[in-house]
Amino acid sequence: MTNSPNNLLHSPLDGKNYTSASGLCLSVLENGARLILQLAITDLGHASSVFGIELPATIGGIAKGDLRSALCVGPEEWVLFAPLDQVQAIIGDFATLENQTPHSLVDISHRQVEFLVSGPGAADLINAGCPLDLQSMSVGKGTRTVFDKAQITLLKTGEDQYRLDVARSFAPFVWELLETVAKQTEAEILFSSIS
Amino acid sequence: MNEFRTNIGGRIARDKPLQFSFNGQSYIGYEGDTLASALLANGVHFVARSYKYHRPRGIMSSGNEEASALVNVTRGKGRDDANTRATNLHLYEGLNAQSQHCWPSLDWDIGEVTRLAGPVFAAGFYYKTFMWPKSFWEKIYEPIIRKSAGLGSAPTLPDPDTYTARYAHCDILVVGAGPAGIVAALNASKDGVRVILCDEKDEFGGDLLSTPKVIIGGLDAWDWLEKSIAVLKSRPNVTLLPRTTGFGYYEQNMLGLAERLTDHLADLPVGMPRERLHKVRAKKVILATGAIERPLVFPGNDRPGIMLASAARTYLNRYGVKVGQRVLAVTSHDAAYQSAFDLAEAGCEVPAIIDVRAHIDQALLDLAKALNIEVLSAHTIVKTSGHKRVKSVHVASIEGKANTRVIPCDALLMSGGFTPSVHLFSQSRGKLKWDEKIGAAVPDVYVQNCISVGAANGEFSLHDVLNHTAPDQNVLEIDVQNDCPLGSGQNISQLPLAQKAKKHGGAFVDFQHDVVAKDIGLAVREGFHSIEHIKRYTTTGMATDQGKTSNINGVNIAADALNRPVADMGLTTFRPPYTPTTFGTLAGHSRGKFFDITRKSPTDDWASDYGAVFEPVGLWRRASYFPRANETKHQAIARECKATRASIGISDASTLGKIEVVGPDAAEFLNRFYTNPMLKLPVGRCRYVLALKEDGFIYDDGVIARLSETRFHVTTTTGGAARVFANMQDYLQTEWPELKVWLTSISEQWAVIALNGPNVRNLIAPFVKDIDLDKDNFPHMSIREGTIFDIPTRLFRVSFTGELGYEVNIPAANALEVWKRLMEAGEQYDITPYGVEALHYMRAEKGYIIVGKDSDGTQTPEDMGMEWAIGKKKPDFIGKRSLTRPDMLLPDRPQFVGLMAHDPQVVLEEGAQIVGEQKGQTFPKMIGHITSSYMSAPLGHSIAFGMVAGGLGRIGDDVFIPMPDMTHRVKIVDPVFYDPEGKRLND
Repeated sequence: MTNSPNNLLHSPLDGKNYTSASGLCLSVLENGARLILQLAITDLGHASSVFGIELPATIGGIAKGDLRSALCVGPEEWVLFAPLDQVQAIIGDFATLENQTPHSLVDISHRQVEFLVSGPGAADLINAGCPLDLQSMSVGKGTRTVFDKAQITLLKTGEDQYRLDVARSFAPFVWELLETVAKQTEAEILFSSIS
Repeated sequence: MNEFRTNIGGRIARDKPLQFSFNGQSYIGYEGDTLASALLANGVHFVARSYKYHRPRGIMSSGNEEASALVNVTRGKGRDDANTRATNLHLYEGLNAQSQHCWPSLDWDIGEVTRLAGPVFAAGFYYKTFMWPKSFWEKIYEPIIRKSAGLGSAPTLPDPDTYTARYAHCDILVVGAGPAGIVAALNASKDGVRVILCDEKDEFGGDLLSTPKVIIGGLDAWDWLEKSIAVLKSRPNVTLLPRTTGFGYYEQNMLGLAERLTDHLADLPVGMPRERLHKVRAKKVILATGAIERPLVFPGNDRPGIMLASAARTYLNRYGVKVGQRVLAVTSHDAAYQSAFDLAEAGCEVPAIIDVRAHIDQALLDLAKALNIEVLSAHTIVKTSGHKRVKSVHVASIEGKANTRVIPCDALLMSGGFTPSVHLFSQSRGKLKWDEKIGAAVPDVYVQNCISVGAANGEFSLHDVLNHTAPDQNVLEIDVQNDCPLGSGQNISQLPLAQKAKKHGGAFVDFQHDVVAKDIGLAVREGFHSIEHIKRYTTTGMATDQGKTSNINGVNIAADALNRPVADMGLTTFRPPYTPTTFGTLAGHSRGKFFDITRKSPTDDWASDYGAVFEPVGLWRRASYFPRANETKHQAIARECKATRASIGISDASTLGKIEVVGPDAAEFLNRFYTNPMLKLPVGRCRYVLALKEDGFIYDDGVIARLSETRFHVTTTTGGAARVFANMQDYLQTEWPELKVWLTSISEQWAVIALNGPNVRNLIAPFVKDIDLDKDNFPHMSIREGTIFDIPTRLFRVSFTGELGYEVNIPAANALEVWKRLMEAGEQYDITPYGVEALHYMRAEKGYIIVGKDSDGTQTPEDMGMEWAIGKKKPDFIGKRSLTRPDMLLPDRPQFVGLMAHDPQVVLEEGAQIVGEQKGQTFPKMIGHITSSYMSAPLGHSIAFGMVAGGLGRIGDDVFIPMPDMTHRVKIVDPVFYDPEGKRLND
């Protein structure tokens, strides 16, 4: 019996992968650490020094360090990203802040799963269920939004590359709908190429 | 070659003949035809029966305004499309269409006999006639009316096609790709902003496709079109969407566009969706939706062969089809002349143009004379004849001096002027104004960022359209030659003498709903004076064409009858969709497994393999029970309950809502939010809590565990998770913003494995680290943090079964492994998975309520016998004030009690009424109802809960449950049936 917790992880997207003939791709990302940090914007400086990155002050902003990054998803709310094995260290670091800076830091590493939508037509594909103007969104921005009936966190990581962060039980729905629409698009591309 | 096809001209591909079938007969058409143009080319005018009177009908238009030529298209199993406009149906090889509203055939239709009874089917007929005898309504009248009503037949098979949808954003959306729309798109897209141009037709160009002789800036119309479209195609910032109808204009410049992807194809490409719904958010909208020609209202104006003058021109110039060999025209506008001239030049015989006007432009008269066409000015039509196709028209001078003249013909063109298509503008909540000159309403006040251009704005001269659409950007004026402006003419409600010519049959206003002019007169006489009332009483404008050809004529006739200026009448509301839109498009992806989300817990796959039967709980599906071999549901539940109480039961409780509440004011916040006192809950302890709405009624319950002075782990019901979280946020943001406390949903971070039964501690002890499991050091209603199988756990000692119970919270990604290991280790204890059903049975044995089952949103804690959950010394909590209102304190409020049937084998029916007496009164007063009822296997008898008026004061009384078979006598008892002292729980 292996007792290391990291060997026991299961994701609702285990085994999923999709690439279309035109290069549109859905790929599951390895699970990293995610923590929700909430505190008054005036205390952001303290949190930045603890986390080691200048946390973004505007909603939608992303700050990146070597291994860690952070997305501001709302007033007083940030998602902190880091390698999974750093969760306890981050929690420990913020604990030192508790007396001087009231805040809330909650580990949600396993609440969600992540995957990448990339390739030509990625924005159109996500727009099948997401009402945002993705073309006008700058690379390096992120937001909490919806895809069809599910809430997602969306990060634009490249011109044709988006990272989706979805709650576990909603993830198969989001993935399968994206895959279904991607296949419809593939059929359209095939048809227009032969006609 | 088709009989009525011209030798040259048109935009059809004469080298690509297509075979198609209509009403079982085979015909030939060409690529580029519509079904309507192909039928006309084969001399087929009579294609439909009308909706109410089953009158023979032909093709009256060439566009989406078609009110008569509606057909059913069949393309294999499940693909039956009713009410397809033949004028908008792109012809493809093998197309198979049939007429509607006729039986046994189009030619010989039984329903036509109702035509003979026409006079009795006047407006309001149904409202008046089927009132008596009352008993006939359900069995006779309604089924007959339903059978004969409705347009076309609804499909009976599931739709085999798929549909897709997409949100889109642009700076400028242009709806309509006629000359105005194309110029608008050219100008708008010059600077690189995102432009979408859509048009409902297969081909861009609008009316220019029907007027090849027009010369624009020195180019033939069609060359100008080709060049302009090529420019648009070359711009990467422009999206061109042909076959795409802008059908709805909603708030904040959100428009719905329906794109038809495969309907025009002979072979349906595998895997390709049939239609796409574009949900477009545009910064600015340009409506270039054009105008629709108005029919004239005169007796017998609906015969096959009678059509709009512009349509005949379109059939000739665009499709190379002559609509007849001997064609007449009746008009009040100049536009009809151009159609008549074009037909005459193409070799049709055009004996006469009947014009109601006394004074006609000399240039037109000269041209008519040159083409040997007689112009009958100040004349009118009093009658037409020809059953399945118009044969002749009876013409009279308006003065009525000369005798009626009969002129034979096989087609009759009519033109009553043009009506701007203001549907989308009106949907945008823009205000219209009446334009006397064109006799129609035009856009006036804009509410959203939108403009109307071209004919949609009442601008009927091509020169003006091209030069005015974006005047500041046009450096040079575009020269236009050979244009025939649409606007010049006289606007009339119906042809003169038409009212007197009643005996010659109906003068149709609404062709699709079979409303005639005199129906509107009748409505007015019966007291309906508002156009909205007249519309509903006569149903004019209420068909699927939304009155595209009938609204203006209808309002004019009503104005005449009321002797009121038409400008004062107002127009009825235009509603989306502009044209009928498939349910498939509106539903988009939301069908089958995408209709709704099914949330699955981390052990769902395991449960599925283990044979679980599932049940929905909110969006979640949970294992209901785990039947073995031949077990029935109740046998399985009984076994699961017994095994749990005897040794160990294991259950997945991951779906419970969980919220982490953190901050220096966390305790204060929870103290205000829940009824219970929370300030002094020690770290490491749990408390069962009730949440009330402001009305004092219970809406959720749960358990709160204190992890530290400033950190709480709150659980909610499965179904209540989202609403409790939202309510907490609401109060934090609006009522108590001063509190330093933050909420995080952790429902899916932590999976929960519930273990219940006397052997649970023995099972987990070897695997738990850093937690002292000793019953005194880790008592009931406590929480400890440590590890299980080296995985971090928040271990709750709580129980919803009455047994020794633990809820093992582990990170969701680890849950399946932990579950499997517990199953493996539990073998020696006969560990038994149980589902939601067994849980419900066991909690009932213990007297625990389920919020939403035993309570229904109208119970206070006192009503549920849970006064103990209220912190009476607290200054306030949500709902507190409501609890002391007089009605809340009445002694006879329904109260939660246990019920035991005198016959212990009787399981009472949930929802059954409870009465206080068995006999004496025919209708004894209801004093309550049953909320939960089960056969308890461990106890060996049935148990039930109910709400009984003043029930808490009636413990020990007998009450009665009248059921269809017999009345059951039951005793009101304390709701705790099992281990009332709680020995097992605290063991």
